[in-house]
Amino acid sequence: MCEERERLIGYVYEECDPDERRTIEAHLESCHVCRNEIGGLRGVRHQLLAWDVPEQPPVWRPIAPPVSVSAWNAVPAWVMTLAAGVLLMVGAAGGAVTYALMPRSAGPVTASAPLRAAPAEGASPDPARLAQLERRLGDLERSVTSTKPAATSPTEVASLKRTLDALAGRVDDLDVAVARTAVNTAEVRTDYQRLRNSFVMTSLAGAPMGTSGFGGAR
Amino acid sequence: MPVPDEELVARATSGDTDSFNQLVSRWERPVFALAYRTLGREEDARDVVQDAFLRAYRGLRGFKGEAKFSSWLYRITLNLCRDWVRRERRAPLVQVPEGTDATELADAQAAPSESVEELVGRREMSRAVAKAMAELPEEQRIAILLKEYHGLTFQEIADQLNCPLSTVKTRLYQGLSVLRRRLERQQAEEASLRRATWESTL
Repeated sequence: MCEERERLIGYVYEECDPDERRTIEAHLESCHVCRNEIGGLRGVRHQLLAWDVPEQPPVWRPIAPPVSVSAWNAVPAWVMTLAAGVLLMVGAAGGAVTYALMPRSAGPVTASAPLRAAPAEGASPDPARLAQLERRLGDLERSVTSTKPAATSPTEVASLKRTLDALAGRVDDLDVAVARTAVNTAEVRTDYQRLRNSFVMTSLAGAPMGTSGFGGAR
Repeated sequence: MPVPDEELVARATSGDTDSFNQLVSRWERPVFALAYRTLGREEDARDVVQDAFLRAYRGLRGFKGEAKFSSWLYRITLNLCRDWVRRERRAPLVQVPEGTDATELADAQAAPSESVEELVGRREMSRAVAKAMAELPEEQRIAILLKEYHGLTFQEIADQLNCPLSTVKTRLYQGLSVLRRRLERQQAEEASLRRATWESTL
């Protein structure tokens, strides 16, 4: 024991097993050197208690709870981007349709009749309406040709002719508008398809392995 | 009954910041004491405490509960102290106020039963212990700090310092033996000085 005084440290700190404790106590009864050593170690431990630590105000500033975020902030950025893209495309399509259906006038627009007439005609560019106009045009032509020239004055004939020309021009305009709408719709559909494909490819490339379905861990 | 550390850690990990604040208020003083006794400077110890809790907060998810939360915190603190000593290339310092003001001492009386003479004696002993500890090799000083002031078991110290249990006992024994000799010598020198002063006044 006297050659292994490190063993005394477990006794001093009361961290030795019962057998070791009994062995040390038996040795201390007959060894005054080790008894002195134990007394000295206990004494220095008592002196260590005198080492004060200065009082301190709290050093750590408490963490504030996280600020609650609105539901909009919880929506992933890619969803917002997609929604914005769809809105943009819908707006562009609407604009294209409106533009295509707007009546074209060669001269300056007057205040009353053309402005009121344009939405009524431009708002229904469907083939049924066109067919109806075609029928009305045919009726007018037939009525003109069936009218006896002797019964009408040249002035009336000229007036009817101008009406006929105006109606024919309107029908042409409507034909062009329908064709442009069809082209614009096809372009918008193509753009949308291209954007959607691009988005799908991007999200698959950015997704972590295992969630994309491509080579993920099983 | 106080909430156990482990429960507060679990709550803090799931985002309850108030639980982490409770852990800080519970352990700030011991962590400061460890840093102060390791470095010897109040300002540096305060910085280490800040950093230690910041690291603990960031690394809370990495704490698996294999050791006590306090042991984990002490390990962070000691690592920061080592970094500080390495960075500053400075040895631990004994920071003791110069002179002894009687008014201040009277204010600092721990208990009304303690006389000013006893307080002066305690202050002198505190300074003597701090000086003797600062002169110990780091591994002995840390082992004594963790055992005497923080009550870690031999095994917990061994885990902290990554060394065998027997090494911890050896460091403690050697450190305490050196401290004992130095403190005895200091006391003898002070007694001799007091005797000489007393004799010169006769």
